Amino acid sequence: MNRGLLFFAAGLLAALGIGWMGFPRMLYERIDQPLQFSHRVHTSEKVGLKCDDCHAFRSDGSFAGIPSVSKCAECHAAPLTASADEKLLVEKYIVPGEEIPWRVYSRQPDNTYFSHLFHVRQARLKCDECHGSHGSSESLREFQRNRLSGYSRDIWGQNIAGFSRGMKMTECSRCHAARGRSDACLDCHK
Amino acid sequence: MREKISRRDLLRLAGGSALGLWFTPIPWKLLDDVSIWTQNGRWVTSPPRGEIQFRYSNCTLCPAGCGVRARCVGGQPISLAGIAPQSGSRGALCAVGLGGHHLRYHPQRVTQPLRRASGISASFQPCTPEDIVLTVSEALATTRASGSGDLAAILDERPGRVTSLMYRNFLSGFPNGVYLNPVSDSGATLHAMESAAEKPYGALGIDLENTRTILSFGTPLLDGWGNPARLWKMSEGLQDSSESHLKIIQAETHQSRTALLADEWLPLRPGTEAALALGLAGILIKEKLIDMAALSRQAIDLEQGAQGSFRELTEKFSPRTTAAITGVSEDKIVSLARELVQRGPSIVLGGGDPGAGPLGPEEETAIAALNFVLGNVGRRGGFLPRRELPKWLKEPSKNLKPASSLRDIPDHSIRVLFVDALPSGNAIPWTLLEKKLVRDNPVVVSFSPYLLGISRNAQFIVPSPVYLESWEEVLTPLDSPTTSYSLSLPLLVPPGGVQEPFDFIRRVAVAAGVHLAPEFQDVSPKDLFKRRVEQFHRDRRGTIFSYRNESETRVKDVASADSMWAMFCDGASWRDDPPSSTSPIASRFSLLGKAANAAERLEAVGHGRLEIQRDPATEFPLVLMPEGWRGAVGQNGLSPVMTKIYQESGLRHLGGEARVNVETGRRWGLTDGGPALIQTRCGSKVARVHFDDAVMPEVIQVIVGPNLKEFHESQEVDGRNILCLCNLDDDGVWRVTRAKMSGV
Repeated sequence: MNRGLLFFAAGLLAALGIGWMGFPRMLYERIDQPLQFSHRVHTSEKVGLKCDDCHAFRSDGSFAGIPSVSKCAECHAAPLTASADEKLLVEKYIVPGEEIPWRVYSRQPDNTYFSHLFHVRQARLKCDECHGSHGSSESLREFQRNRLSGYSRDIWGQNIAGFSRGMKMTECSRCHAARGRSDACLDCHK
Repeated sequence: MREKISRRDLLRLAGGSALGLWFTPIPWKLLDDVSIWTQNGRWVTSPPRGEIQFRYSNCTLCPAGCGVRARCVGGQPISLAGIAPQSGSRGALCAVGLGGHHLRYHPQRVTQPLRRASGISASFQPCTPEDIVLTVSEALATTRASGSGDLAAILDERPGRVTSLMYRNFLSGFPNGVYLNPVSDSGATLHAMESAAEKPYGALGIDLENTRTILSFGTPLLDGWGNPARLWKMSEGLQDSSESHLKIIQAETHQSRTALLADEWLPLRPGTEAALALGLAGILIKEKLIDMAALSRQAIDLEQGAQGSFRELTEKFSPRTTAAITGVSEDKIVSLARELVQRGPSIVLGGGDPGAGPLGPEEETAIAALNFVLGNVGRRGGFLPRRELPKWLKEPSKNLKPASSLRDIPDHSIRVLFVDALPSGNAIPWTLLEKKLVRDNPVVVSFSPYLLGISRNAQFIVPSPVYLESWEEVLTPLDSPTTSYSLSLPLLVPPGGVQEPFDFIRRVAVAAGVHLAPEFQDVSPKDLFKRRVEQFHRDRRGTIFSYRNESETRVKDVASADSMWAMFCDGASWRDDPPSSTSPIASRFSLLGKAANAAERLEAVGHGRLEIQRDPATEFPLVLMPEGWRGAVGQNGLSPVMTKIYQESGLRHLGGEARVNVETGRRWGLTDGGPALIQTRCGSKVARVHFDDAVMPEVIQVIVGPNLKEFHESQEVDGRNILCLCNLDDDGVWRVTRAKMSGV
C-alpha cells in the first residue's frame, strides 16, 4: 500500500475516533446521582404509584416537578427495606429535612419556558413521549453535564453517535410540526 | 530495515486528521457549545432557580398604571404580563412595560449618591447623602433668610400621591416654596376645560366607549396615550366603513403612527392647531349647527365677556382664512365641522406629543372652546366629571403649598430645585428648567434611578428605587371617567444606597428646620398608603378587583380595612362607582379662557405659533418639530432589550435622528441615512437623516428618545439632547422652531 496514503488514512481514522468517541467523553462530565432510585419498584403493582402521585400539579396549574423530600417522607419516615440507598435517603435527607440534590436530566435552560400544564392536560401527551422509559427504569443512569454549556446532555445539541433521549429542541420542533402546532421562537423562549 | 518517518509522512497524517475532523462532531459541537457558554458565563446575570410563583403589581413607568402579573422564579420577576380585564391593563402591556423588570439592571443605573464634579459635561463623583443634605439645607436656609425672592421648588410630574402631599407640606415651610406640576401634560385639554369653568367641575374623564368621533390634534391616541390598552381595544373597529364604529381624525403635521391607523389624516401646517379649532368653532356657531340657546346660556363670553367676544374672534377665522393658515382646504374644514355634529358624540383632544411637548395654553383654550361649543361636558360620549379620591389627610390647606405651573415662574428665580423620580413619560428640555434657575450656583437635586435626562444636568443625584423596588401609588389615568387607585408593590429589594425621595426630603426638612405635619413624621409611605386604603373602606365607595382571583368585590362587602389592605398587598385595584347620571352640567364656562388678554393672545397664536417667534423665515426656512414615544423620552430608562425595537427591527428611530421629506432632503443636498447639521437660533447638532414621505415638506422631525449610547454603560451620554435646539416660547412651548439644515 502506498505509504503516503497509509499515513493519511491513519490520521483520518484517528481524528474520527477521537471525534466520535474521545470527544464526547471529554465534553460531558459524568456525575452520579446522590442516591439510586427505582421508578420500576414504585410503579409496580405492589406499590402501585402513578406518575402524578409524586410529580403533581399544584392548585394554580404549575407543575411541581421532582417531589420534595417531605413527599418521600410520607412513606419513608423510616426505612422499609434493607436497601442501602433507602437507608441513605432516610438518614441523610429525610431525618435532617435536607432536599436531595438530584441532577435533573430534563432541566431546560433559563431561556426556555415549558408548560407541563399545556402539554399534559391540554395536549394529553403521555409522560413517556418525552421522558422515554424513565418512569419504568430500574435505576438512575449517570447524569452527563456539558462542560461548556452546563446543560444536561439530554436537552441540547445534535445527537452524537446516536445518543438521543427525546428532550432536545429538535424533538420539540418535530413534535410540534407533526401535530400542526406553532413552533415560533417566542412560544418557548420568552 | 525500518524506514524513518519523514516530515512528509507527518504532514500526510496531519492532513488526514484535518479532513477527518470535519466529519466528527468536534467543530460543530464546539461552535454550538462555545456560543452557549458565552451566553451563560458567570458575567451574565442569571436568575436563581426556585419555585415558580405569580405575583401582582401595577406599572409606574407612565401614569396609565396598568395592572401587571409577574412570573417569578425563586422570588425574582422573570416576565411581566397584563391582567384582564378590569385592572386597567385590559390584558395587555406596552413594549416599555413588558421589559419593566429589566430596569433594575439598566446600564445607567445609579446606586449611590452622586455629586457633579464641575461644569455641564463633567463627570459625577460619589458622595454621601449627608453631603447632599448639608449643601441643600444651607442653600435653602440662604434662600429663606436672604429675602432675595429666590425660590425653592419641587418638580413633581405625578401629583396627587402621598409623596406629593408631603412635598407640598415641606414647601409650605418656605415663604418662597413652589410646588411645580408637570411641564408637559397629556391631559392638558381636560385641564383647560376644568379651569375654564365658572364653578369647578372637578377632574374630567372621557367617556370614550360612547364616543363616535374623535378629532385629535396630534394626540398620540394609538401610540401610548392615556390608557393604551383601552385605546387599542377601541381601535379594533377603525377604518371600518360602518356608521357605528369609532372614527378617529388625526390633525397633525406628519403622518404619525396614530395618523396611519386613524380613519383620516388631516395634514396640518406646523403650529396651526389653534386656527383650525377656532375655524371649526366659527362654522358651528355661524351655521347654527349646535344648540345655540344652550351655548348662549352657558358661555360667559360668547357675545361679550371680560376678555372679549368669542363669536367675534371666530369670525376672524373664516374657512378661507383658516384654510390659508392651516393648509387644509376650505371645503374640508366646512365638511369636518358638519361631520363633528352629524357623527356625534364627537370630542376634540389636544395635549401634545410626549416628545414635542405641550401644544400651548392658547391652542388648548381653543380646543377646549370647541368642546364647549359641541356641548361635550357632562354628555354621554363626552367629558364626565369624576369624583376625587377619598380624603384622608385632615391638615388645613395652608400646610399644603398649592400647585404652580413652570410657565408661571419668573425666569432665573429658582435657587433650589428637587426633581421627583417618577416621570410623566413626557420629555422635558433641560433648557426649560435651566431658564428658571438662578444664574449663580443653583442647586438641582434629581431623585432618579438613572443617570439620564435631567439627572445628567443636576448637581446632585439621589438614587431612587426603580419600578418594582418600592411601594408606590398609581392614581387615576387621565382619560378614565371613573376614579381609580392601586399600588405598585416591591417585588425586588433595592440595592443598598438607594433612597426613597420621601425619606430624603424628610431628612432635608430636619436639617433645614422645617416642621412637617404630624402625618408625615415617623411613618413610611407604606403606612400612609394603608391609611388611604382604610379611608376607602370607611367611605364604602366603589369596587375592588383582585388580580389573583380576577374577581370583583364591592367595598361595602369587604369585611374589614385590614382585609382590604391585604387585597391591595396581593395586587388589586380600586375603582369608584360609575357616575349615576350623565346630564349636561349647569356650570357656566369661558370660551376664551381666564388668562389676561385672552382674545388677543388667541388671535395671535391662531395665525400660527411660528408667527409669534422672532426668528426670520428667510434665515431659518425650515421648521424643526420633535416627536417621541411616551415612556421612552425624558427621565425614563428603557429595558436594554428594547434595542430589538430600536436597532434590530427599526420599528422606532433612535433619539437624535431626524426625518425629512424626500423632496426637502434632496433640495438641501442631503443623503438618506447620512449626517446633517441642524441649526436653530438656540444652537446646532449633527443628526442622522432619514428620508420619509410621511413628513411634511420643509419640516424636520427630530426624534426624542433613547440614544444608542444609553444602552451601553461605557459611553457617556450628552446631557443636552436635541430638545436643546428647540425655541422656548414664553408659554413654555417648544414644539415648533424655525431651523435650517445642511449636509456634513
